[in-house]
Amino acid sequence: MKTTYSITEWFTREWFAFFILILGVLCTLVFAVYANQAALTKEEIQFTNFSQRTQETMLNELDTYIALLRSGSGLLEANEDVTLEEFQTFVNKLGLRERYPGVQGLGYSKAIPADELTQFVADMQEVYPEFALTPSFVREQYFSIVYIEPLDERNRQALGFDMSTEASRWEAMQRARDTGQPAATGKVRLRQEVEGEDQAGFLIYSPIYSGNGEPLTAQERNDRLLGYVYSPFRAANFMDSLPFVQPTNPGLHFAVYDGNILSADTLLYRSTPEHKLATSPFYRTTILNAAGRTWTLETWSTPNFGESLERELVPIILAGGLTISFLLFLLARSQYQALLEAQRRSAELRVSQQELRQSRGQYQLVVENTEDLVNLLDMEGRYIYASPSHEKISGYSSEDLLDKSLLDFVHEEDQRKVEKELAKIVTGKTAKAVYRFRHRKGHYITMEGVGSGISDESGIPYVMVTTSRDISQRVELERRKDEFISIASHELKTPVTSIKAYAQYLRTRFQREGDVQSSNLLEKMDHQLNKLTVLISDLLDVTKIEAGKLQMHREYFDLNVLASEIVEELQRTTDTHTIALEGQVNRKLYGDKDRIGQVLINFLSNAVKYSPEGKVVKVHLSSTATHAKVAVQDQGIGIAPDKLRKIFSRFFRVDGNKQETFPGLGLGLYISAQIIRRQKGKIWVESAPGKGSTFCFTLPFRKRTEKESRRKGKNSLELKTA
Amino acid sequence: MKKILVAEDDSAIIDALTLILGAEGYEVFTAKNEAQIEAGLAKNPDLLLLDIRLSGIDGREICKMVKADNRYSNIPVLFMSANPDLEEIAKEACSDGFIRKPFEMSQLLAKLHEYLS
Repeated sequence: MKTTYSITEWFTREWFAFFILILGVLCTLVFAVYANQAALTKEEIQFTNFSQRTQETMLNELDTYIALLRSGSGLLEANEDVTLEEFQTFVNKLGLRERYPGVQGLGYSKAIPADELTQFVADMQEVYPEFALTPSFVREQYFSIVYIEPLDERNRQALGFDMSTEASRWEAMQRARDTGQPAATGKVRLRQEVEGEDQAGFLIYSPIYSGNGEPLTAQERNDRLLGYVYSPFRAANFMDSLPFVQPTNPGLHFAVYDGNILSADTLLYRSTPEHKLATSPFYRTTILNAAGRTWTLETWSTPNFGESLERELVPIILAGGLTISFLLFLLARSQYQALLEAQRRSAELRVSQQELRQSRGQYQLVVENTEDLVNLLDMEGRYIYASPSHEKISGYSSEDLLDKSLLDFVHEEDQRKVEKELAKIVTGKTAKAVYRFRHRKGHYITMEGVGSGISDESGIPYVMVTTSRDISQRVELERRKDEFISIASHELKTPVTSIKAYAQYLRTRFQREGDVQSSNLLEKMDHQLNKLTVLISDLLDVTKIEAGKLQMHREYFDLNVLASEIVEELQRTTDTHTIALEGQVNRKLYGDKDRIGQVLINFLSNAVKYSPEGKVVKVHLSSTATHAKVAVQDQGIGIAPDKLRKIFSRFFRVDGNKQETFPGLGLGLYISAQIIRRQKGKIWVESAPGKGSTFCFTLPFRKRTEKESRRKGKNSLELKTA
Repeated sequence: MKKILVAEDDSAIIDALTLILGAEGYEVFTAKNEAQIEAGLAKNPDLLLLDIRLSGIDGREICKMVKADNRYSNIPVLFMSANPDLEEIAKEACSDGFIRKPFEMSQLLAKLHEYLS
């Protein structure tokens, strides 16, 4: 597999920043070198052009002047006796000063044989009285400048001067004479240098021959030489007049030397006061032929020559490139560091996520593996989450239940109950309900659920959490237990019923037949059967109490009536005791009439049972504003103080003196206490050994609701006092 | 002579009631199951003494059936049971009254007299 890296992956490497830096610097250098090279190339071209143009222009200009001299020679050859006026006219026509500023003038140097010298001087002095041929030493041949135009003060100095007396000039004159071609001198000091700074100068001679036709040999030229048309040049003036010199690049310079030795002595002209520097990047020398004379043209450039765009670019490129490189380096480095930081953070995050996942995982494990159903419901009771245990218990998967309402699955008869409980959650309370939930297969399972709300910051619940469990089995077990108790009591009472019926039938028969003894025996049997019935009922009650299933069937009833019925009934069963009912209750009670009757019967039975000597049992009824009170007083054996508390507990029995025992399981008072307490009453006993006992209970009157007050009127529950 | 149909599945109780009620001058038919109850009803009894816990059938269902049938709907039905919640059951069902087991003979006779006079 080929691995490819994206840019972002590159950033993950530490060396990348340095790589960027090096790459940037290299690129910058390459560009700078390239720009520099380009500048150099451009400069070289510029320089070469400059050198060539300087050379060409200089030679062209010289040619122009040479042509001028030739034309002057032609004029004199055609007319040997050209007068001053004619010569002046010729020069004026040329417009020498205006058109040929490089030249000092145009002159005529006439060859004068020695024998004609005196006559010549005389002739000349007619025109110029102070004329003298200089220098005046005797020689074979003389030359004298006879015309020089324009005849200004400078040129006037030259009149009468014999140029052949000066070596450099004479050399050029001879060369011109022998070749028939214009010839230039070496570097000379012109006669015209009378004031100001001296300039290097040179002259060019053009020979004039007599007779017709071109002289062919050197001898013939020597013989026929009439003189020279010449021009003196001040080198600086000449060079400055060259057309290209002014607009040229200030970084380009040139110098002209006479001959091929470059020295101050041979220097004709230099375009700048300073000589070229050692650091000049460009330098060139060219050998020129200036009218038969060797000149050396020297060209060079200054170091800062060529302020070209490219050259200006170099520092910009360098500065810019390096800056960018460095910035890129910093960027890459910060990217890398940010990446490291990010990696560090993500590692930390991974750790904390891992921790979270572990703890979440634990909760999830709990939620997903519990047998209970854990649900999240929205405030309308729709499933947001249902734990996977649903599948096993209700047959629905978590997805099946999502967005469906809990109530849709609740048995019709339980819906209102569940709805009411869910409404509690909205008000911040806890909900609790047992309800039937429809299994996927259609049958119902019994659920016991609790729910509460999760509140936001303002305390308003926004989601409900419920847990419920399948209590079908438990319900079924309880149902079977109830059924068993019910069957057991039924099965126990059924034979008692038939025995009792037979006993009573027989008793009436014996009574009719006058057999009193048998009748009495059967009556005792009947009493024992009644005790057995009570025992069976008590056992059943205790079982119910233990299971929390002692049900109260509440209703309004008159305690006075109930008490008198019971007193009447129990009075029938005893001949030994008199039961007296005293006092009254002024309001109806709300409670389970049968159960309250059961308590009173228990009190009276005990009173009779535990007062074998006593004759009277008093039942006293009374009421306060809030409670009804029943007190049953006997004159029996009483109860020791240490046993008063225990008397209402299960299976407790009061022992009499050692001769007497009292039958019973000790369940009666326990059941009585449970019945009274279940109806928010109080039960107690006041007693002392040998002084009898008073068993009491109170029951609260029910507070009437406003509705009842309105509907039934204020007096409905109050009883008329007799 | 008043006719009383006793629906009860315990033979001893049936015998006892037959003895007692017969001695009191009532004509007693007995029934142990649904079919016998229907047969007994066909004899036009004046009262039905009904154990609510017959084998195989709930006395409450029998009561409903009787009260729903135009021929028998005015026959008084008395529930008879050892169930401690008998009073509640009697109130909820359509019976005319109830008597607890085990009963006092005097109470039973007084009750019958009440409904048959």
